[in-house]
Amino acid sequence: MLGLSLVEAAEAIRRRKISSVELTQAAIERARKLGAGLNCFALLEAEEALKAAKKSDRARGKRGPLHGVPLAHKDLFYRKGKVVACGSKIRADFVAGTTATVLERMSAAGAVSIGALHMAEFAFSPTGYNEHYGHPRNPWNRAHVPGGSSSGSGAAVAARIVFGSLGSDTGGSVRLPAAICGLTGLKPTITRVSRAGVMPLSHSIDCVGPLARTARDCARLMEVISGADPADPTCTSLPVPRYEKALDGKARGLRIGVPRSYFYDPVSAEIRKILEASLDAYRRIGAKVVEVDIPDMSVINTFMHIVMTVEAATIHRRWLQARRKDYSDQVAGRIEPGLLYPATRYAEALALRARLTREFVDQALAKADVLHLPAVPIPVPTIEETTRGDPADVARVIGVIGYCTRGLNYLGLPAISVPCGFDSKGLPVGFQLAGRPFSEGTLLRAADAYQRVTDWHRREPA
Amino acid sequence: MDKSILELQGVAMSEADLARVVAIAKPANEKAREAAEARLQFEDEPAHYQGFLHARS
Repeated sequence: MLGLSLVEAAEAIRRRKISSVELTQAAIERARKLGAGLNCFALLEAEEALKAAKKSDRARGKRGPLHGVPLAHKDLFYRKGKVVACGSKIRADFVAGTTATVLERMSAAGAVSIGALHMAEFAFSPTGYNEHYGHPRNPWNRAHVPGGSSSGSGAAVAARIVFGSLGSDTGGSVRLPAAICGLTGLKPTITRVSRAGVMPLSHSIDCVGPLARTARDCARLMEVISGADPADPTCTSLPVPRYEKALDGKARGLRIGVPRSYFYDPVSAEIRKILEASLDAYRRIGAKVVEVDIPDMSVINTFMHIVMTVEAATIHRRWLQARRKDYSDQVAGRIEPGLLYPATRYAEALALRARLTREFVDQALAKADVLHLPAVPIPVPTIEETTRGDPADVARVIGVIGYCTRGLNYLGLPAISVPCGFDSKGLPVGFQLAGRPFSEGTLLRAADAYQRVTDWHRREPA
Repeated sequence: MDKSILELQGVAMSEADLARVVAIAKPANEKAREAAEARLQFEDEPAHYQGFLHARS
């Protein structure tokens, strides 16, 4: 029963074919069996989860869209009265005074939380690297990284422990673990989802998004978590579309743009072949694939780096001053450049954001509804390849993992990662679809249409 | 970019760490400055970004 998708599990509970207690018990047992080996849980809360599941089964009247479904989320969403360590030593004893709006919305929709999921230290690694609590492992092959920074989310959903998970995405932290673990992951448009009660990495770039097995699962989760929030004044008041209802399986006439430059440049031959096969699948269901030009991504990536590191350094400066030794070198080393940029450079990066985003959308999406991009341009590396050996080699591997994701964060555009095959070592490969601001519905429809004619998202690790 | 900036920030860093961080920050600073000099206009301001996102939804 843990092999069901989130939507299938919710429907099975709704039709009383299965109880929340049965599902939650199964999830807890699987977490106990696999959780330690994968190192994907920060905290497993079996007793509380079973109590909540029993309450779900007893509930009468109207039920929410996630009623009784066991889930768990990245350990940076505040939960009132609970320790929220954010994968760090610095916040190892931090007890949250509030609950994140997105978690309140998950509870209101009926979800059962079974705990908090492990993550990269302060959400700072595209591999999932965590020196303090150990590296989470990829369920497809434990020698390999699960992707980060929502590493526990990727591992726990892929290992069929929970049906879905919320992560945060500042440079690819939802899309990378989704792609690397064979899942579907959506980074919404900036401001689409509330960030109240979420430990920030970079407040003008952070996004909250779902990782799950299918696009339909993500659509359901997005409907639950999206929408205006008085606790987060940056959150948009645009109405939330009926994402799930709009999934009609159709891709006929969909215009898919494939950039002529940048995104495919570092893609290995093996990955390229798999990505091309995904485009063929789209052609077969009536989509039109067109080549498109895009603006200079190196400028966009540079501004992204400046905004992210300056905002992170603003958050972490006092801790770096007093407790530098409680950071791993890899994480402190990524934050510290932010201490050196002049305020004028940061202000320029924010001032140019509208201009650069407009240019990107006008150029790249002039003749396309969505862009088809690699998620990760190289085969999934091993943990060793991203932690040991020549520092320059390690930095190069880590840098290339987020090559195709991070620029979209500065632009604030939505993007979804979709599983589309496996490399020669049996590790998952994914593609991204990116779109115009607030085009999450289009991305989910396109991903769902692909998943109706392929079965990559249904494959499970041995 | 030298130790005086770190003194302003109140963060201590070893010579080696500072050299590593400068090696990242210096080229990024130069590239961003050049891009801003070439493109930034008086009318550009951060608030326009939010407006653009909504207008294009």
